[in-house]
Amino acid sequence: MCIEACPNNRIEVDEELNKKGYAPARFKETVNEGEKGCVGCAQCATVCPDVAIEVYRAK
Amino acid sequence: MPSEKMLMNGSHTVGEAAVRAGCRYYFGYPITPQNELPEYLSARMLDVGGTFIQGESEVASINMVLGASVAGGRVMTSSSSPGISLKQEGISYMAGMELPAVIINMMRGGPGLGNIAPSAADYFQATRGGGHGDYRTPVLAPAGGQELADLTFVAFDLADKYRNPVMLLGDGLMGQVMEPVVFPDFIDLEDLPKKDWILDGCEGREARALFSMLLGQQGELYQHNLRLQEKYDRITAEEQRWETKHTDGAEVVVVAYGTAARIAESAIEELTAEGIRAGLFRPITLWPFPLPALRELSRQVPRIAVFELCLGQMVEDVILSVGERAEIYFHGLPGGIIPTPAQIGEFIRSVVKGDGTVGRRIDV
Amino acid sequence: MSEQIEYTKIFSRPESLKENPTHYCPGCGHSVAHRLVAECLDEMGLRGKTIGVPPVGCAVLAYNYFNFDMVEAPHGRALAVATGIKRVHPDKFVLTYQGDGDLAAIGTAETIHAANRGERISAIFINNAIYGMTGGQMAPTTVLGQNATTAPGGRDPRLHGRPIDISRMLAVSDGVVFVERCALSSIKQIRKAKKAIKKAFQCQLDDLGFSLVELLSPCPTNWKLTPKAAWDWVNEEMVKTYPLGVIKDATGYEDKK
Repeated sequence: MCIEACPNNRIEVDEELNKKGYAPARFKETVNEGEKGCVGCAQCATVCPDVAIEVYRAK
Repeated sequence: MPSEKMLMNGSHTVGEAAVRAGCRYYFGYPITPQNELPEYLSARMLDVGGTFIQGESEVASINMVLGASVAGGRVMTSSSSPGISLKQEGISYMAGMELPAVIINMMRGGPGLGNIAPSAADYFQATRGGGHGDYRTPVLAPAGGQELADLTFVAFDLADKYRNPVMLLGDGLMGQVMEPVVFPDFIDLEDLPKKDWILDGCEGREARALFSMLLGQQGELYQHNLRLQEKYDRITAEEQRWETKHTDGAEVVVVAYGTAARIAESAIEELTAEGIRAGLFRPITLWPFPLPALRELSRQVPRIAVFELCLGQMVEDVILSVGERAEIYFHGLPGGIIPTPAQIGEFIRSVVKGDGTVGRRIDV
Repeated sequence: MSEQIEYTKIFSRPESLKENPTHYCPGCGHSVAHRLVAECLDEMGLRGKTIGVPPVGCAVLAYNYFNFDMVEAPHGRALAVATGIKRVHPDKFVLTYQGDGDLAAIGTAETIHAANRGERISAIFINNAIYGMTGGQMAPTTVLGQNATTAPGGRDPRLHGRPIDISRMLAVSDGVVFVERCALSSIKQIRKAKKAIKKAFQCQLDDLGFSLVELLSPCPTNWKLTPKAAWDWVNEEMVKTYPLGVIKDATGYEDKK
């Protein structure tokens, strides 16, 4: 859900499986050419059913 | 200070006793023959700053009781046979969660809608669970106005002491008796022991959860049931109550409770005048049934005559207690029929003569 | 170039939600709903005085997730249990969290009467149009044509009756002061849902009456859809039977935009 929600395409599906056997979401650390970084809109966290995301905004 | 002697209707007596025993929450639904009790409390609760809700059904009422109990209040509901059937789910849950509450059943004729006459056909329902699961509820059977008051106090105390629902079992006649009653003094709610398990908001402590579902794979429900059974064993060991009259040297002892016991008592008085040595064994706790006391008595008398206002429910507990130690006879009247003392006298006479004209011998 | 940038945390687990991972299915609306309730309680400072009643349903173990006092109720009876609690503790905050079977099938009488009495209780109604915990049977809110294990071939009005709109029915009562229906199937709706929940809670705090927030909730497992498709189904299909929006507002509150 977070991948859908992110307006700046900062999240992708992880290649590795987690303990529950799912491929969870993973934050993309590197910002490529032409991409915007994470702006702290927290839309991902708003939709995450597992409260798995914490969001920090630069002061 | 205890009250002055008052002449009061049985249902009102229970209501007044409950309030004096610290009950501040009543939830119930009208059903004959106990409507006088909610009617009384709808006004009396306001006097003492309590809460009265006429719930939308007996089901809703027992669940309001559950909620008020969880929140720490002394709480009561009342109904009659068909309404008590509706409450069984809630009672089972409260037993599983170990919640105190007092439930008044003024029995009427059944099964189904039956009639509104006094009957005592809910003994099984009261003492054998009624609801689902391995649980018991203490059952108290008053036989008159004073006992209606006294046993109401006992009911609240037992409920709190053991964290269990407790039933007070009367019938339509008990609900209507007009007898002089002296009420014990008002209990000060501050004097009641504090409950450290209730839900009142987790400020300053860990959050608590109360539930009866134990799905775990480690035998949690098994352990919980063993603990509950341990509690019931303690109640059985310590809380049996009964009364005996004229049992020394008796040629027959009548076993009866509640209204039936009052009728039997009158019959016994008349027969004593005739020279028949008849006694009375009156269980006051139907659960735990005073089995050891009755067993002991059955070693000393030749005949036990069970009289019930139904077709035979308590008689099974009598058989368990007595076995073959004495002859067991049974006479019962279902459907709200109340015999006269003279008619019960006929039964007792027939038992002594062994002629089988009234009632029957139980083959053990 | 390594400047130390200072960050403030703007989103994290609310205190009213325990750290235990939930057992809910991937994409289930419960987790989001739990979080919203927890956030509202935190933001309104209510955790320490809240007593909650979970349902019998997928959220039966909600007391493992919510970090406040909770008591299990028999199926459907949550609002009667809540009534008993609130009458003993009128100064505390009492809420129920119920599914469609709990609130609108077996519990219909208790729901209507607690609401009609105007009990100062807030009800969170999770409507996923199916019976989740028991494996996908028809719910009172299953929509026409929707498949369910006890309505094979889809809900048929003659065979199974029509879906019930309990929120609109409750709105008729004067004891009910606030009813709003939101969804958990888009960011916009999730944000609206949180506002609605806060408003419902405020009704109780202001002693106005009974409040209820209905949350249309995706159930990917029993709808046999992916989480994304389940969101779409709520947004495109379910809202035809259960339109979103305020159903009753007798609060007199002026809403901030």
